[in-house]
Amino acid sequence: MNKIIRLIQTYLMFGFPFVMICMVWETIYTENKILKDATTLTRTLWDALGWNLMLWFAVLIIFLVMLVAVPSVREKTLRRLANLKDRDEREEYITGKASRAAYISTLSLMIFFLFFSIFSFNIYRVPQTEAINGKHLFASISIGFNLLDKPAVENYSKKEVLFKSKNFSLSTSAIILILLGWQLLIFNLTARKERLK
Amino acid sequence: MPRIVGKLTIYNCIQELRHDKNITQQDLADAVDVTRATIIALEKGSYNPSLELAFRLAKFFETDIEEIFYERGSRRE
Repeated sequence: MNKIIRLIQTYLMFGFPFVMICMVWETIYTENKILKDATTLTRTLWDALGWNLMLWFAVLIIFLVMLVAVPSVREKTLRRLANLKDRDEREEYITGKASRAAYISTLSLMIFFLFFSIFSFNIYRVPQTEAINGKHLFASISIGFNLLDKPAVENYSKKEVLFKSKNFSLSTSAIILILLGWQLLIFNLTARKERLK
Repeated sequence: MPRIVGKLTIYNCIQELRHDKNITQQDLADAVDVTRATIIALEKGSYNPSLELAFRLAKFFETDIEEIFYERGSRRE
């Protein structure tokens, strides 16, 4: 098992530059341009890079699944990324303190994101015909939770939206990236602070 | 039954004992199986060891735990 994991890691690491070469090559010249009047060497190189790209992504998916499902793989791989040092009891204590800080701060950030995602603040202007008591500028605040994202519904009202808080909603991948970066940052900052005590 | 509340400030004389034995921080760290950073933190008083490490240190210095770790004013002479 260990040998397989090491082999996968090595392949992912050393195969990555070739994946990048393939992607950059494809971005600069399209596949048609590359293959048009291509020499045998160019064609072979392009085919090899293409196969490597497919294999690399397949191995990456297997590796990511293993990372989630197999604790030993997780421990070996993420230890360096998370900057975990457990050489003795004091370092274990520091890891514990830093994990606590990272957990608490990530929890607060997730609560903020949840509130941000269910809260909506809009400012809009309605035409003179729809004005209420002569007022045609309105603000609305609402809170709503949906388990699944609904497709956008066409708005038939003639009101002109001036500001909509939902326009600033982050994408799912951006939220995941922020949470990931935040956790790593807080963990490492706390661990550093504890070590310097 | 007496209640002991509040944070106890524990002092230690690891540095003195180490100087008496004429050994380096690294030597002591190797002897009790911790990193040099832990010995530095112990000597600075910024880290209180586990009971196990305290016993290991006492064993290494061939003395009692109370001789190494004490509250201010309560050290046995």
